[in-house]
Amino acid sequence: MFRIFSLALSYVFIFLIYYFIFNIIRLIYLDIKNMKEKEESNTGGPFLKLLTTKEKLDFSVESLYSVKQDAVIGRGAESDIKIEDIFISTKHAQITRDEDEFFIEDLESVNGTYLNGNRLEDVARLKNGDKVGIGLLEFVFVKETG
Amino acid sequence: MRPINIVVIINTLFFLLLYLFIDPLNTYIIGAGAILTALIVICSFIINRANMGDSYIFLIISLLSSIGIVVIYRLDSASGVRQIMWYALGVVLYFLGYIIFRSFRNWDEYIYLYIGTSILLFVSTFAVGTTIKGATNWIQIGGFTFQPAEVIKIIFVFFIAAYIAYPEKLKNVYVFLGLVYVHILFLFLQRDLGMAMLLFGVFISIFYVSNKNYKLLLYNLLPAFGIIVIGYFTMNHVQVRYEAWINPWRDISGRGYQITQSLFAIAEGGFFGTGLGFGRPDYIPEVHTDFIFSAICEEMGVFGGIAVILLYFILIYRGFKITLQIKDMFKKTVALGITLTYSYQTFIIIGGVTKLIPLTGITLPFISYGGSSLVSAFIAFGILQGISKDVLEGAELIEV
Amino acid sequence: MKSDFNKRIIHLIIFSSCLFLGMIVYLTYFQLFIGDKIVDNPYNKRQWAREDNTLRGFIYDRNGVELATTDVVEDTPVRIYPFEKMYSHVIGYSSKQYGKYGIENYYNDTLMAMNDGTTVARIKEQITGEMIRGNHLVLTIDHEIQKNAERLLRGKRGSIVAIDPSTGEVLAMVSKPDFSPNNLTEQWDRLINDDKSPLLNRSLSGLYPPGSTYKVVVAASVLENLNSVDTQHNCTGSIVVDGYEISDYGKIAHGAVDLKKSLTESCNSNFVRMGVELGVGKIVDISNKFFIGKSIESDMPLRQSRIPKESEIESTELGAMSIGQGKLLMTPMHMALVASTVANNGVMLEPHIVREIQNFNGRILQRGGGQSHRVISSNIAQELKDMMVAVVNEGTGRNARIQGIKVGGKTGTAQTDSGGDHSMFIGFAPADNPRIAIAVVLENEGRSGGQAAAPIAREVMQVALKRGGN
Repeated sequence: MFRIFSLALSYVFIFLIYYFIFNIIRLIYLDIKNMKEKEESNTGGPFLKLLTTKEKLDFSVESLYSVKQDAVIGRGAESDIKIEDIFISTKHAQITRDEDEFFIEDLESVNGTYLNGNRLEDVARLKNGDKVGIGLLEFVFVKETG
Repeated sequence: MRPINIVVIINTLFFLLLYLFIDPLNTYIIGAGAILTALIVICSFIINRANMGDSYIFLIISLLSSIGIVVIYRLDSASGVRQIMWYALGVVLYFLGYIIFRSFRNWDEYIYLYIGTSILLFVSTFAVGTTIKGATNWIQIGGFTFQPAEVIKIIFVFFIAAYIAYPEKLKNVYVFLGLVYVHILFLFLQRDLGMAMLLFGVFISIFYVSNKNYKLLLYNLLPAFGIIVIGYFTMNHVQVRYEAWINPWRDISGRGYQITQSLFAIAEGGFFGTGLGFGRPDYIPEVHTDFIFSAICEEMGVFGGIAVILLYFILIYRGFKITLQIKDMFKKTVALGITLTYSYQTFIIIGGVTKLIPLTGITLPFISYGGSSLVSAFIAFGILQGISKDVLEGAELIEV
Repeated sequence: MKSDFNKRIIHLIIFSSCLFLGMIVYLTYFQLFIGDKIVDNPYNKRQWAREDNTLRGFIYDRNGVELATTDVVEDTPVRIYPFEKMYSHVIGYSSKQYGKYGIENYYNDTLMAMNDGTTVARIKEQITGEMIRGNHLVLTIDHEIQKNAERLLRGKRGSIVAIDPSTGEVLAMVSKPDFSPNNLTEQWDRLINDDKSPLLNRSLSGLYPPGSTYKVVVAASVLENLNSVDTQHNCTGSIVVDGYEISDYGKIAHGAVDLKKSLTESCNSNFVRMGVELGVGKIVDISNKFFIGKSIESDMPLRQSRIPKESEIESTELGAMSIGQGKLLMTPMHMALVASTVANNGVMLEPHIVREIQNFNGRILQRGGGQSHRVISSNIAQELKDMMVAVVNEGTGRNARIQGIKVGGKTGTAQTDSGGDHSMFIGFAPADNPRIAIAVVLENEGRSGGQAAAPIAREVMQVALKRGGN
């Protein structure tokens, strides 16, 4: 009786290992697909790059958001950068462009906007490499490329 | 389902199998299995949370190691337990490798250090080394034997990378080439053909990538063939290996013994394997180390073997992806070197035990039993993990 | 510059991918095409383990006589051959050291029940841990006929093959010298070094010049081409072809002969003349029709009979071939097949030695049998039959006569380079409804086919005919 179980188990492994491989490949494929899309949409200029790993999230979010002009970040439909995180307010934060500089301010959101770990009270200037925390997500602001 | 969960399930089933049937009702197994699985989960979690870079590498390495541990345990429980301990040590070194690598910013400047250390290790192997199974590439310290070649493997990659970053530190290309061949020659003299082949492969590949001079590249292939031909005619063991590869059936009990027993095992397994615990891997020589892949094919079938090959392939793929995305020349070369080393190593050993290419003494990374190989693999991939963090920072972009 | 780098790195990626793909493809190829071939290698100790856990199937003659059995001694199966030498070349042996031979070899998988319903049955057996029970074989051999044939061949070298012409079933197959399969280890060195080759199955693998028995084949071609060949000849005891003289046996001059007389008296001169008249093309053609130079399907490894390439046959060779000499070589089994084809109205049945495969419970899994091939028209076959009956009634085959039974046959005396002539006889009985076709080959016997081989054939046929229909 036991031997049947043992034998069956031995075959289950192979199946599981392939399932694992399949899973990984699927994730990698999604990864590549996203990269490709970002490649096409990113024609230069600054952007917000997602740092948080996507697999743990139960809402969809892009890896990259291009920030060329002013942009409102929020859960609302009219936001320029729309993210369906329940911890993000309808209108959560705003990025404004002034000539070559970019600024970020919190729009009186419930959970606040964080810059490099500190909660934003006023408008702040965004430097290259700054970490922006909104809701469950963390982004890095990339300004210089190449 | 998330990959980490699948790994946990696989591990649970593995150890359940061991506990129930192979080493019946030995409570240590459950303990060991639990610790192993917990270790994998915790480390994977840390890597993710702390944003330490690529999250797949550690997972795949752990799955490979688990497969290795289970097969080794099935062969010999004492070795199995020891392999788990080596794995734990490996994990520690993985993180150490990551941390130490990231702490210093100027690894690319120490080319002389790398050359010096390698040569020192080579010389000491000659001086105080012990010969095991025909190859003089082991050093015994206390009760442990380790292979300096495993350490040199990594230092070699750093050496080449340092040269590419600052080529002016060596007088000219020929000095560089000379030093490379010194490495290979040492390995040849130590009768470690597999390692020599490996280092040469890594070198020539990196050379191909970094050098526009096709002629020089071609000229490099000549001494390679030269060494092989000379080796064939002068050194008996090269001839033996070659003949055992071409037709092992002529001398099944002598020269061809190892490879034929390996082929029997693989043939017995068919596509689905005999089932873990139902085969006779004890008929395979060197089954803990070189021929462990044959044991996997016997009990888990060709599908099991292909699954293992695919796992390595994904690992290599991640390595290449990191390599492509890094801008810093030195780090790029290091990443490339590590990826190539383990890619070629896997091919050399699997090819050898299946008679695709001549057999050479080299281990299957993460799966073969053995401290030195496991440890150096973890360190190498820890460094790779460290490099991958640079990619994640957003400071790097793809340029394809 | 950077992208140049990356481009080359991509080359390396492709290269590595090829390496990995190569491994996968090779593994698959290996398992599909090479795996099965090497698993049976005696050096694969797993095979031993499997054999030690298998109750090898028994082998019976067509009437249920036990010819090979398996006893279990201290948990290990031991193979026993109750009739010692008698079946050494039919059943052969199964030994861990020396491999397998004979039916033990060709039917190994069946006897070990290795390939049928594998997965389910094997898993069941693996689980219960019981001994695997192999399948049994019921041979086409009739033990009484085999027994007598073996007795008659004692002290001689050569082969006796008896077939049922209408089914292709092999009723008896003896090859001497032979050996006892029961204690191989003690005898092995002697057997290997014996230059009389006791380990060679002459019935299936021995190649002999068919001699005058081949005249049956040539006669068939003559009958197919009556309008282009003159069958009348005045035999003077020898004939010259291209400056080369071919004589009749004992240089006897047969006088005026036609086809029938030439066959009954075995006149070389006339057959040489007719063969040359027919030409290389027709001789090769009729030979091929009889499967000489072609392989014959069978459940035994039957060696192909040899005929030189058409382009290499010049007239002296053609002359020699017409009387079954020259470079022509045939196995005794094939010679029996020639007889059985004539006996069976021109249709050749592929020979087989296993009648039934049964599982350990006695349930029939498979029946043996081969295909039939039309070699010559039944009219020509009938004419040949009549002539071969004349050979036995009035001609060189007189020693094969059986009282009250119409027997057909042809004698043959083949000259050899070393040693005495081969003495041969092919025949069948009873001519109107043949139940047995036979070939007897006595190596280097030194006497003529009619003197030595024919009487042996007579005795074997008598035993067979007494056995009644089967």
